[in-house]
Amino acid sequence: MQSFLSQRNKLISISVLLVVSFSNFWIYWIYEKNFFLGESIIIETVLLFLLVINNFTKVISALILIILLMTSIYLLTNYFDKEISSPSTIESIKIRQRRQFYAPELGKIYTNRFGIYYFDNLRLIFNKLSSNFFSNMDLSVYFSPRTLIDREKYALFLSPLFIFGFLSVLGKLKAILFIYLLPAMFVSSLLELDSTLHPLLMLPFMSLCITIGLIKLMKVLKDLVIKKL
Amino acid sequence: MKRFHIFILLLITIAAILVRFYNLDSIPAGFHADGASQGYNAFSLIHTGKDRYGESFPIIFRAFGYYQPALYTYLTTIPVLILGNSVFAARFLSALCGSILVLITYLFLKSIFKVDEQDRFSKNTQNRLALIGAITVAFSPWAVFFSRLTIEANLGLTIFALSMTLFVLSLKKKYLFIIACLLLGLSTHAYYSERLISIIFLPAFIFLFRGNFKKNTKLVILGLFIFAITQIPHALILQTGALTVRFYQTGYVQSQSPFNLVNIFLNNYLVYYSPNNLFFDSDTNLGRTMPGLSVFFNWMLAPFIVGLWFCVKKLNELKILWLLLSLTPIPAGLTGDFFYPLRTLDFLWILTLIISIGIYKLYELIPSKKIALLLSGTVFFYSFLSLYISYFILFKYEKSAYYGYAYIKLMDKLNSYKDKHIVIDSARDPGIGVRLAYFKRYDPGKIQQQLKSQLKTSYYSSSVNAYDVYLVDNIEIKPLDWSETCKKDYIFVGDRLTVSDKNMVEHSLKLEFEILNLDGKVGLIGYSSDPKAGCPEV
Repeated sequence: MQSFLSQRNKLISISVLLVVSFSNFWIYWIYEKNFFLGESIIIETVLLFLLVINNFTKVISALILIILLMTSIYLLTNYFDKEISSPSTIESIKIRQRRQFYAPELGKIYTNRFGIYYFDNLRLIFNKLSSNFFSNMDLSVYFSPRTLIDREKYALFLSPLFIFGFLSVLGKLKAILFIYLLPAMFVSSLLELDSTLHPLLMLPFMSLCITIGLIKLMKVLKDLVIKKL
Repeated sequence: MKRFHIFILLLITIAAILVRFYNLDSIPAGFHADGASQGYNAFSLIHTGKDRYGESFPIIFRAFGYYQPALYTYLTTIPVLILGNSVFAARFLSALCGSILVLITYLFLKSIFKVDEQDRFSKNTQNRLALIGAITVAFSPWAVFFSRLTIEANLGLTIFALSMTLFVLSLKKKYLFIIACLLLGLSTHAYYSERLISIIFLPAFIFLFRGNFKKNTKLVILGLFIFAITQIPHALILQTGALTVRFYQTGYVQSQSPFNLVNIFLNNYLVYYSPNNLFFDSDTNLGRTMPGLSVFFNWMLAPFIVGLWFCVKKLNELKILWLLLSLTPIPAGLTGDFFYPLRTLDFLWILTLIISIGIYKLYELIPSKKIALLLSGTVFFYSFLSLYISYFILFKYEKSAYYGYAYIKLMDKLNSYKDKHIVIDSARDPGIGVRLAYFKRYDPGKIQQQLKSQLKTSYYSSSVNAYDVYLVDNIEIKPLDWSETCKKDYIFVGDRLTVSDKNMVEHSLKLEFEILNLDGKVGLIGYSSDPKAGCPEV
């Protein structure tokens, strides 16, 4: 990343990052919910960006982890999705119906204490968790809402910049993945937030990729102009 | 090492065969109308050389208001001849194609990547990647789901995938281009989507790889000529409108302004790239998925993204993959249905290849091979368990009504009413008659006589009637005629919507039997008539 970002341009880049971070409604909805939550998300965004451009210093990594931990504790205490472990009425009906299918097909695999517990409880929890976890990766959540109730978190025209930026940081994704992305995705999958806010812990990564995409694009365009001249 | 890879491939293929053929006759529970149509037409062809409407060796088969592509029916004559008129025989070809696709995937992935030691792409890497591709296709929810249905789309995909493999190989061995063109042409007789894809793919392929064929112009012309020959049957019926009737039935091209047309097409086309539809949404529609699972397992989104990134990096080498990725959803995008995977099996196969590449790349990322193996083993075990529960248990029970399970059970029940005239209401399912005729091995000559007289238009036509009246021994299959309810020794059979409580009282119908679907809900109800009650005014 340093190859295309000189020390002189770091401040400008951070400014671009802040413009990207504040030029969407998502962050304001987060601020509306809780001011400190919004602040920590913005700080996390900047730190993540510094982590990428400064070749992963230990101090920044530790700071990211501490803020993520604190934010996660706050979110889990206040917005833990209780429906993960307790099924809704429709799910309960379905579970009851399905008991009569499992028993003749699976025999003793189902009709023992662990089998019943797995099919009636654990399977549902695991399915919900894995679905929540991987839905963080669904770009339509961020750029193109699925329902009329959902609102787009970023403008659709930013999606190519995100993809461009995402491909650029892929080489360094391993570190971001373990320091921020995986824990953030895991915590997100445990939260019950309305669709406008969810998954708010992904905002730093999304803004990071869009910014890097934008910077890279500017560089490509600049090179093209210089070449022509 | 080579022997070891072949051994693993053999194991994967056997596993794929087991997953596709295990209880094939009873899961899905029932027999869909489309499958019954293909099965009976095959039976009719064996005995008379004509389909059930009396048409000799049709180019496409008339059925339920549209036409079924021909190849599946012709090839199904073999299992029907050997195995008899059973559900297993009708589904056999699709399951076999699904198994063969595993081997084709292995070959395709092996041929698409060049060995480049400098780029850390060894022969071993190539083999491993191909094996991962084979196992991913073997157990992907969509591949298992569609392989176990009597659908011509699966045959279309297998021939199409084989032709794609040969197209890739033809870049080195030029003569294979001719066989690839022949197979591509054949695939257009197997399913609708391939008709459009092949016409766009062939010139695009020649253009993209024009450098490879510079010195082989004659060969290219010969290939194109062979492809053109395979299209002669279609050309012969083009004027009748029969070839495009399905396109107009499912599409939106008529009555749309050009601007709207582009807009609708883009929306419908992009729907197929939505991760939500591919990895998360589960639906119970025939064209989609099984309970609780989407087209792919949701964890596959991660390798899909990684695979896509790798394909971007190798853009030049994987040109054909990108071409197919953009081309294959076009036919489905031209239809009005929202996300209908049945029409995009070629696209789903391409996505599976990208996912396989991603799985391999993720596997490579993990430094300890022991941990990588343990992790992939766990993911595989959990995926297989989910597949088994969703398909072999939940789908079997919860979708039995959709596949007409009760009509199969009805056959046994009706044996005790041999002295009565039975009327089965066909108002909501046009496939009851042909299903019954197939299982009863009813004389195709008699059926041809009955159906030919009901044709309102010529065999190949843009207007096709969907409902036909069948008489199979003492069983008449037609929409219920209330004036018959006072006749002596009549049994009326219908679903829960056929006869209401009020109708029962008005027409003095007596409940004879109820047939339950596997989910415990009433599927069919039989009533007997009471002539003493007199005929009510209708």
